[in-house]
Amino acid sequence: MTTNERLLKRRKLRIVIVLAILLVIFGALIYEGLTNSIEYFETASQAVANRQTLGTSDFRIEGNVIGSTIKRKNEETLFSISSGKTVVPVISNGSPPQLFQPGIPVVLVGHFAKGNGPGGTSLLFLSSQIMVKHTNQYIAAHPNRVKIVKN
Amino acid sequence: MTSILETENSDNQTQKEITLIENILKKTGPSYTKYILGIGSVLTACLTIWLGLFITPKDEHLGNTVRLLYVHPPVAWAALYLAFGTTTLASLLWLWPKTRSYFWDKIAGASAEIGVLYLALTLVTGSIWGRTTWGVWWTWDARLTLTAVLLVLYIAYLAIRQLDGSDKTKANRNAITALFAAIDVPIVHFSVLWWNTLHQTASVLTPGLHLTVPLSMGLTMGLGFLCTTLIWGWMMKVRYDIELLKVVDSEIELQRAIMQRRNEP
Repeated sequence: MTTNERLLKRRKLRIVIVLAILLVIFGALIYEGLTNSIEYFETASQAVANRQTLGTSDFRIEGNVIGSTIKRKNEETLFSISSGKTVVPVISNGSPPQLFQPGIPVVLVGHFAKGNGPGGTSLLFLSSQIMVKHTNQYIAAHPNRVKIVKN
Repeated sequence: MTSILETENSDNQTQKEITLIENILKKTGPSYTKYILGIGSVLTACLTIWLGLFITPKDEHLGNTVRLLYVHPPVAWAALYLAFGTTTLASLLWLWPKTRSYFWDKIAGASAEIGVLYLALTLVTGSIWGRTTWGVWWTWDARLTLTAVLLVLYIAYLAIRQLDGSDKTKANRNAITALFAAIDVPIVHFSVLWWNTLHQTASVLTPGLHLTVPLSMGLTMGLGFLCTTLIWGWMMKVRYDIELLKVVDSEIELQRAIMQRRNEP
């Protein structure tokens, strides 16, 4: 093997090593960054369990709208969301999107109200924005059925 | 004596070049492949529009918005799995010494260009859907953020393809960059399962592959995917032809330069 070939081989090896290190760093960054901060929301039950650390700071909470609890009061919308056995009452001053309706899963931006509970909070959630989270379940509407009911 | 030989040699050479150019022009001209792909694209597009807008039912919750189901997922599949999948596979075939050919480098580049177009369309259609369903045009959830990252990665790949170097260096560099960009594809795919995201989980490519949509909607989605696939195929053919015509162009330039040299006193 000539010195030239040896040099070339060494350069190739160096490039492969540098690339491999870059790949590992990239992977580690994605893994770290994603597992710590990429959770878009906390479910209502997770949020209630984490009240101590969440305090009254802003975060996103997810749950299903309990139909019987929806009330409109001036500019505010009052309702409760549930996830599992946990129920969280909500006051929202953001206008709900068109699809907002009983039973639909929503993601709310906001924070727990001040209170005497863990982390100086009460269970009431003050929301400034409502986003409807659609599931992957699509159900064909039955226009005929609606017509029959109307007749 | 030597001068005659040289002239003969270069005439042979010229004849070879002309045959090459003729072959390429024949290859890139009208062809059944192009007709079939092109007409197929238009037909499936019309059929998808008809079924999607007039035949399939509304969704119980989403109403007419559900019709984006026949555009958004097919465009996204075509970008992520078909276009970027082809780029990844072609890059591997270049890097594998037994299958190494510049053909694969060209295929990888062509497919990535179409993929970037499709991915941009995915973001646009997704944004419209997000506004009508979630209530926001954009939000930094995992699926959306990683898809935006994916678009940047493949635009970077296309930029790196423009860098200078010998053909071999360029092809090597392209292939390695393509493999690097491809890492994000499975992360985007699984993001909705790995983390809490606003984006819903898959409706066709579910872990058990059972549809979560009514059959009529599922079939129309399938047709939409066939349509985006055919358009991809047609664009691949046209894009590859352009690469071949570039060869003709440089050959003609070369011949012109040689002629000029010969005519010099």
